Amino acid sequence: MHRSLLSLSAALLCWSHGSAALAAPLAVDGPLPLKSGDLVVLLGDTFIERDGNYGYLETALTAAYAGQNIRFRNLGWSGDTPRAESRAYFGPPAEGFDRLKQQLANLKPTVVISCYGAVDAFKGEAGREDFLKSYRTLLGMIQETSQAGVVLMSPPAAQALPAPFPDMTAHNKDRAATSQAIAGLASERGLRFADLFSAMGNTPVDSENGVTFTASGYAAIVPAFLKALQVAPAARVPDQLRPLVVEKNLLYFYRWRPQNEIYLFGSRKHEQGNNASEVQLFEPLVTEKETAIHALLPGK
Amino acid sequence: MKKTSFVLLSAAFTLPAPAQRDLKELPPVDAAAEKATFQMAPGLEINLFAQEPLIAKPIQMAWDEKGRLWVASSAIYPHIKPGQTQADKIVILEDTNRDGTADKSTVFYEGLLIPTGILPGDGGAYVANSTELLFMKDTNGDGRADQTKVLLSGFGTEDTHHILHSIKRGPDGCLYFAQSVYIHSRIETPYGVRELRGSGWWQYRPETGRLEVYSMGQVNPWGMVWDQWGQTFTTDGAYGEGINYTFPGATFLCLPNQLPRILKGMNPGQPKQAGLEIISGRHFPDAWQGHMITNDFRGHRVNHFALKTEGSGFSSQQLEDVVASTHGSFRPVDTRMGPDGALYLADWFNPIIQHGEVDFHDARRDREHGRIWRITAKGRALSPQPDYAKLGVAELLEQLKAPEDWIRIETKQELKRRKVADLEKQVLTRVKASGTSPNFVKEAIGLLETTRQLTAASPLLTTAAGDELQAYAVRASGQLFREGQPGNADLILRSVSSPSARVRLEAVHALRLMKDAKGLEQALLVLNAPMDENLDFALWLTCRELAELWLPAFQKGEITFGGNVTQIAFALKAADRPEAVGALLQLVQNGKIPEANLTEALALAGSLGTPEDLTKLLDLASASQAAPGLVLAGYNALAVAASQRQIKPAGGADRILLRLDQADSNLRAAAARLAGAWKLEAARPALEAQAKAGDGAAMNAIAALGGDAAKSFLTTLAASAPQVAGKAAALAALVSLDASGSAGRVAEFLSGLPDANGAAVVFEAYLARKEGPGLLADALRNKTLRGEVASAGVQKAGARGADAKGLIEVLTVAGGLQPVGVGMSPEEMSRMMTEVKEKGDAARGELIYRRQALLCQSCHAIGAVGGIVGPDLLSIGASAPVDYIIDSLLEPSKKIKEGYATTVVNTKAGGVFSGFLVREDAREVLLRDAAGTTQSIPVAEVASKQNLPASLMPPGLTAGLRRDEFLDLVRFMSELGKEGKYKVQSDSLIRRWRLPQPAPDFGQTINREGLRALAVEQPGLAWIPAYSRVDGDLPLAEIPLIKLYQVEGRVVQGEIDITTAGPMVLKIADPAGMKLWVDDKEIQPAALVPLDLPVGKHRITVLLDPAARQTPLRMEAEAAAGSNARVVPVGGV
Repeated sequence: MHRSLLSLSAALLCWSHGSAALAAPLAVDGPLPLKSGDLVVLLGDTFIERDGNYGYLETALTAAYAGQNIRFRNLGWSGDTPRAESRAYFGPPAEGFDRLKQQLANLKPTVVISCYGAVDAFKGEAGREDFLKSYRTLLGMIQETSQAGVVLMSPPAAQALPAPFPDMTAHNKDRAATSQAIAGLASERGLRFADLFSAMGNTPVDSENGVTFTASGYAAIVPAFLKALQVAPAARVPDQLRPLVVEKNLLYFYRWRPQNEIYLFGSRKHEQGNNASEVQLFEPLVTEKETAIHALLPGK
Repeated sequence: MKKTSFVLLSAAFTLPAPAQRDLKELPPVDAAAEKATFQMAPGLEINLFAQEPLIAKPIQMAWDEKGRLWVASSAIYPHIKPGQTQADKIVILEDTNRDGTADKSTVFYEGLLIPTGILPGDGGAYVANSTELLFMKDTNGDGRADQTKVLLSGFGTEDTHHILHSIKRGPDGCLYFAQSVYIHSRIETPYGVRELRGSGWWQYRPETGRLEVYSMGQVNPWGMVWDQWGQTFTTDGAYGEGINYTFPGATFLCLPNQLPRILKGMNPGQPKQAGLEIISGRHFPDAWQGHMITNDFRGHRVNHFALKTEGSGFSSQQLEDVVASTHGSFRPVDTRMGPDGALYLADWFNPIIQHGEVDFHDARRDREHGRIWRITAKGRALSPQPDYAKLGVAELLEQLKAPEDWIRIETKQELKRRKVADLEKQVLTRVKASGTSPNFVKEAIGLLETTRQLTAASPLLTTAAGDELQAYAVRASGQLFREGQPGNADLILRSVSSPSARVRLEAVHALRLMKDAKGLEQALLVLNAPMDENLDFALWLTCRELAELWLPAFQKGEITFGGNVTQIAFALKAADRPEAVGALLQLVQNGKIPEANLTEALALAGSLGTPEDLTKLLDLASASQAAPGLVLAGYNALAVAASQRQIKPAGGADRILLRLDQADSNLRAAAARLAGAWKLEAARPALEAQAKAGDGAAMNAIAALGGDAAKSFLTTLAASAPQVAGKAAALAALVSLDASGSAGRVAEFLSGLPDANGAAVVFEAYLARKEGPGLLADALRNKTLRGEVASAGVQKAGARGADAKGLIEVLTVAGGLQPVGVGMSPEEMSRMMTEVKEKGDAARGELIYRRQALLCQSCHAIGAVGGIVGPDLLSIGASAPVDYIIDSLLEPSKKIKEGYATTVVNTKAGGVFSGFLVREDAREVLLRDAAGTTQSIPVAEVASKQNLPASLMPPGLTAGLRRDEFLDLVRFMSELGKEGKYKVQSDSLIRRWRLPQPAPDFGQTINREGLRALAVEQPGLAWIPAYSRVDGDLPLAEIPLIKLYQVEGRVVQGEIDITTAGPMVLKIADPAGMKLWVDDKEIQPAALVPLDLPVGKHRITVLLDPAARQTPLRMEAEAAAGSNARVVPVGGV
């Protein structure tokens, strides 16, 4: 079943960067032990996807590990859940899940930082069991597919905005409960938990609508993000770094979520499938940016 | 005459994409040359407002409050290349000296990826940028954006001409924008995630961050507008139904349909259209006011429609084109009224459109040019342009009375910017002081919506006078509920019983948004007044969406619908849930379901019911006094439950045995099917007796019973049956039992057939099994078949996709069929294209197109007249390059129109179904096969489902044509939709006819009843379809002469649909030698025949005297001058 989609994902991501070292399980506490050669997948919903645009969180992490040649792949997708619902394109959620699985199998990440829960929190208490069940399935898949060390990050705190935006107090209680549930899940599976929700606390950050953040909002979230991951901020972040990270992410976005999917890989590939191989030409462009990023951070 | 078949050489090397061919045909890029091709509607003129380098590749445009034109443009479309910089632009054009041409161009932002939507407002601009909706702002006044916010993200980009587009500001202050059929979006909002899979329109209020799906469906919705009463209309760039009345929750064609029922556009058979505007304001003459303008970008035309109220909705009639051009790069894609009252067109200017058929990077794609054209009415003053910023609040409120739609929208925005606290008080004072018109009150409600000051208690809602205003007040009240505030429930409930159908319709929408079980109970009251398609759909949707709310309340007796059975039955059927079945069957038992609804009601019971429900259903259908309709529907429903869900009644199966020797063959067949589905062994003797008498249903039932007994019985029957049909049916039944073991016998049977009779059913039996094509191919290898037999097999197998390829090859050899040309070299293709142009004759080509043997008309319509299996070819010539047409004829699977790919479903029981995917929901997959038959497969039975890049059109249909004939056919198709003879001219022409197929003894009927018998529906007179030529004539030679007792004549029948009654005329091009009946009443033929017919469909029967006329038949039906009547010739198959 769904052969076309699987082969599509394979075509999309069948490039591997030599040094996918086999990862040991991450310590559940202490500084986040990233090391040279790590490939870190940032997985999640709108919160992760938008950092691709703005780059603040990834830049902070990159700078904190200066000199270590760590690479990041942002696989965030707006509105996504552990069921991979946003990734399904034309098929049922299972198809999106299979797609993600194939992508992880091809990318061979050593670390996955997974940040889900913001979408499911809207279902309140009633949806929590199902959320945890689907998250368990996702974690099982990640561990079986990639052997990556996994960090479970709680969703960011929603922001209070004046009326006519809705009051987020009740919803934030659901986010808090969701965060606790994720903490429980992490402990159940012996995984590292990064409590972004608590780290953000009540300090307001700039958001468009209470649930998605502006560029300056992301800048303001950086300390909480690093704190949740137990990463000491870099003493110095070169000004050129974030623009490079953003450019790299844009090129990688063209690579993993190309436009005209239906013509390149889907049911109309008989028309334009000849152009599908073109997406691979973004790979060297991504690598080029990555080289520039690492060149900016020669280490201590 | 010797007829050599035209066989294409199979080229040794592979074909590059059809790119680069036909380069010499690129139209001139000079704007003056383009303008010279424009034919304008009388009284209008056109001038160039802007062109490159001020603007290139415009997609959407919108004016700001300062009278500047904002344009979203993309040179990257359709696809970004590795290494290419994301550099698409938003450009602002200004006509600073107001001379009607732009003299200033500012790049507001450069760095976007295929922006397909733009709307300035709220101090910046909303921009649709692929996956995101952006808000961009110039904070330092240099005219360039320096701040960007992502307002929404998660819009799909599966197809770049489907991505988020067409941002418009509604009269309620919300933003509306569309996405198209391949797009799947999930968006996080502060109210939770919002999802839209496939096409639809979104509604978004930036101030609150609320995003909702406003309507669903259409293939490529592109263009939205509101009339002066806030009623919403849309157009579509791919499915061709003209103007769509798009009320909240409206759902049109989706691929696949997400709802079991959908609405239709008002002008079926239209070319595809993009961009929609409504004429208003002082500049255009009165006759143009309220008319809708949209663009046929394929046909290089700007279309024009007038709407009239009809029932709860509207009817739409096409009027003369505003602009018609023959310039191949004139691509009007957006149209907007300008601040001066002129009508502006965005001309994307490109010889190539779309990016499925033609390569993304084809060099013929224009990436540099683009025009904005300006259309004015000759000799009329321009509209005044208010300087909003300089007006006081009182003056602004006066502007709400302006006849220009855009002034009123802009005024509301200006008042929103001013943050005036007591707007309601101010407008109420005005309403009281001057008894201001309903138009003003409607704008005042819109103003309060825009500024979010509207409350349920506002007197503006309840003092609403006039139906149109009340309709708007009800919609606004429903919208309050949607936005999480209380709306005016009293107003909504009271409106359910309004004498105005429009008001009732809005009340049903509002009740859907009010989400209240008691309210739903009230909604059903609309059934007390006349219903129409819109009302029926809206009520159905409301009952369905609120089922979780009202069904438990109904079961608990909290709501009762006043015991009104019509209402209860409607609501239960709409709810379509298992809990509803018991209550529904009770209604059937009490005889409360009208006979016309019985089949649908029982089918629901069959597809949802529990075993207990089914026992009750069997009781009902087995009762000795049960009406035949009830028995038939009941048995069919039970058979569906058994074969698709493996559920049957607990006992009492034997009761159906009685029906197996019923005289009524339909009942007998239904009982046989059910006996088979239940594997009712006791039925075997009766079934065998029926099978011996040649009954195919009984044979299939025996196969379903299974076992050696069935096998040996059917084997004997296949050998001994006297008729070919009986043999074929027995073999087909045997195949379902033992496909492998009967292959040899079937091969013998097929090779012995003298013609195609009996072949299809056997081929189908094999094609319906996964391993079937392979088994049959093996058995037929080295056999010889008659050409017709093999050809029937190829046609059936063509739709099965890749795994029937082997069978097709074997059939081709066995039947000595001509191989179909595959893969011409570019040189050969180029030569053929030249020949099409030089030697092809469109008139001859049309005759070839119309040949029965080619089957073109069985599957394709031209302007809604003809088959529905394949795409409508109305404007294929204007939209597709010649090489595309050639490729599509020779290798149908090489180029497949969106939505026409083949879906193959394998079932868990090993069955295979293939066809066009009509709908897929949680319960069933519906496929329509090449014969136009729809099959339902329960989701629980689906083992796998695959979209095949294969066309339902069998290859080789044109293999029997000579090369010159093929060239003529291509020439004809390449002219379709272009300016000239092959553009469908008028929607009042009757173009679908039927021709009689009288039974041998029909002459006796004529003898008895006279010629009038021709005009009366009766069993002795069957009909087959016939279609007028594109120009509207039905040639005499295509109407066979038939013997009518003592005379001979040509008989033909058309049909018209009256949707609003009133005086109308039949216009007959040549009434000579003609007898005419309307329904069964004879009328004297004349050039103009006045009629006044009731609402509904009416037959027009014509008898032509072969001695007294030579001219073709041509007839139009339209409203008489000044009449409100609405007449539509019936199209379709």
